[in-house]
Amino acid sequence: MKNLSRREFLKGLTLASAGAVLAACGARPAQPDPAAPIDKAPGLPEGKVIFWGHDQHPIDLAAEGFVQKYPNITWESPHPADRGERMNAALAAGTGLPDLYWSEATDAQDWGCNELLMDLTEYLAPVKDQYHPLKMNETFVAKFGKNVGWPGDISVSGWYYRYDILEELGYGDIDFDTYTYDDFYAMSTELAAQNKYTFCFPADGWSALFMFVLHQLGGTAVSQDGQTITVGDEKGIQAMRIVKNLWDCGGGLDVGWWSPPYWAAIQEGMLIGDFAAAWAKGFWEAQLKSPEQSAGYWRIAKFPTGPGIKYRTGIWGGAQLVCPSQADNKENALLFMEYALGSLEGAALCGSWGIIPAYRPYLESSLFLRARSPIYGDWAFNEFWAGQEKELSLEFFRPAGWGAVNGVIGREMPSIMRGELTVEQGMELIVKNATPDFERTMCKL
Amino acid sequence: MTKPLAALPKTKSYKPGLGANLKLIAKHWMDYLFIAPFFVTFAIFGLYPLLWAMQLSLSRWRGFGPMTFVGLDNYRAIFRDPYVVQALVNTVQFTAILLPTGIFISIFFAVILNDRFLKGRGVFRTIYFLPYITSSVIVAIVFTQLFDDTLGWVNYGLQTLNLPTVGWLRNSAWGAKTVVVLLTHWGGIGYNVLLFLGGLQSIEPEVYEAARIDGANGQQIFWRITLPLLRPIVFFLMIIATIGLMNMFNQPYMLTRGGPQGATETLMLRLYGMGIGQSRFGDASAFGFLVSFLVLGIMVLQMQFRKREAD
Repeated sequence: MKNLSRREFLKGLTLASAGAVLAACGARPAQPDPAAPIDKAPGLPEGKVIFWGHDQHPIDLAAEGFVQKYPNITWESPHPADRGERMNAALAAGTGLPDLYWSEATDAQDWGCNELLMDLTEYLAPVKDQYHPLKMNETFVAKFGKNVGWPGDISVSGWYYRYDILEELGYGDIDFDTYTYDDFYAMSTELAAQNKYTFCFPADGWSALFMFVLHQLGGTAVSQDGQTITVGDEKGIQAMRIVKNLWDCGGGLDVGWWSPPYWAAIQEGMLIGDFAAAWAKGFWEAQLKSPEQSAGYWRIAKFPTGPGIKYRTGIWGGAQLVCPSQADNKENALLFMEYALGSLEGAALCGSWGIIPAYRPYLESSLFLRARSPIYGDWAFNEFWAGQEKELSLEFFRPAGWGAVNGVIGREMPSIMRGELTVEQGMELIVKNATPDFERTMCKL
Repeated sequence: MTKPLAALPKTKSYKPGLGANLKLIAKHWMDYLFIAPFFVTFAIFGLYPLLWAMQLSLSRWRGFGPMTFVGLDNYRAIFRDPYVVQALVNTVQFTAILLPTGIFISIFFAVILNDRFLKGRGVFRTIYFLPYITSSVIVAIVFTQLFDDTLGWVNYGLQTLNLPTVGWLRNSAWGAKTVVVLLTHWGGIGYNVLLFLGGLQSIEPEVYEAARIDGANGQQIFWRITLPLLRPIVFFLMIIATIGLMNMFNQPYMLTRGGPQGATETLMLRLYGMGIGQSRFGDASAFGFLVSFLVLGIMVLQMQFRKREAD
């Protein structure tokens, strides 16, 4: 028998490998798709919907009802961890896109500005009165005069507090309808002296607090058309003054927002309050599971009032559903948006997690108002949130470029808080430093 | 007897034409096939992205929409960025602190671990190397809890000892820098120790023996023999570590996200925020090239210094 030389052996191996690769790339025998419905309901839309959001997403809860209503449509929600980067890459490539994406307002504005999202104007026009104008505004791209997203979470906010501890420490009779920031500072200072903190204020800056107050004052960080940074105006300066007072009162606990020390401080009864959005409920439920961890002892109040304050709530987060214009299943995606965020049934399903769909008929329904959560015990917390919806500003905008301004606010806040800069100087610096990034990310008309 | 070269008849120089080259390739196609994977991989994953990034650096493009040629505008934008200088200063500070201390600590531990009379040498070597292979994400989470300004274990310990607490992560620029330095050393020292151990073991024992016979004490042996013989490794590490530190990203990203107030924002963190955070791919590419030129410049200086020293 002839011995193979090394060269001949490698040659044979290469040819065999090439053959194997070609065979693998060839047509494979048809196999049944396990995800496909076996018995199709006649006359109903078919196909699938691919959705990207974060894990344990409220939209997935609505999907359970959706696939029952439309049994010929398959629901897929892989939720890639790096979905933001992937979405950008897929939008650039025009392929590999989901049919639905849970998008923050400023991202939707950015993509909408580049005509990458499905135009929903004609579908939203007949139902626009069923949503708060602020949420409709967030889906509206001024450059083209189009709505590019379906209003999702209204993201109203309030002051979460431990009613049992406040009662115990002599603050059981606060009139939350009239309490002012001055009242809040005084209470916070007294409680901090007893090692009880009424809100979280990380010392390295927390722009959410500023945005809450700016919203309350009827201000906005960026103009509605997205062309100007307005954060340095009178309202911006006043908002930062209030935030500085919050800092100076000493009632803020210096921990990273939602970091392990944050949750530990809540569980131990050290952090007895915080300014937070309604959608935080789902995350709080995941962290505070038993009465020992404070579940059942929480209530929410309107944000304090004071001179110049027009609204008693704030905005933080509050995403919307968007459909890329290059998506494969746009009709099904639209059906889903109408179901999940435009019907009582769908809104109730995703609302059960913690987000508050902006769909007004749902907010007025008993499905919404009667909901209970282990965080609040028997308290009808949604009655409170329904009232907060009416407190939303019509003057707060987050167009493309808003993210750049928000980032600089968080970065420069500590200098203002520590008194290294006056509020006026700080706001001037914020506008100056945010301008280069803003100009390169805004949606130019 | 061999003829001197000058006496050899001159041969006509032969330059093969294209046809001959192709014939040559056809004859050795299998050889070319075997070396092809490297070149193909390099072309796809190295050369093409580099050229693409170069094109991007001269264009305005946010990942979608039309790509507009803007010349050197992106480079100018980097110089106008209000936070780039701070990121550069931070990066240089980290490099200036981490490079010498890292090398010194590594040599120190390597010398100890090289002692053949040390009991449990293998165990210690494993322990020192463990941080290098531990997930940096998990380590960063542990560090954030250890060094939390308000509820961290380190400050709790300081309070217990009646010492003043430190604003490690959020309240003090140098506190945050210190934690980043500690985390970087904790994770990186093991690898350096391993390199120095290899170097120490390659030094012939006879050299030490001769020194001892000549009356050299421990310190003299270390400074006059060990350290000079480790110089090639020190130089190698300086080059590798400088590149690594100028591209430092993981530790500050996971610990502080660049805060407080940009005190731990490195060049790469700024670049990441620009490219991934704001989808400013043109600006980020230009920034990347500027950082590359900077690193190359430092490399050239290091090489020249080394050359001068060798001369």
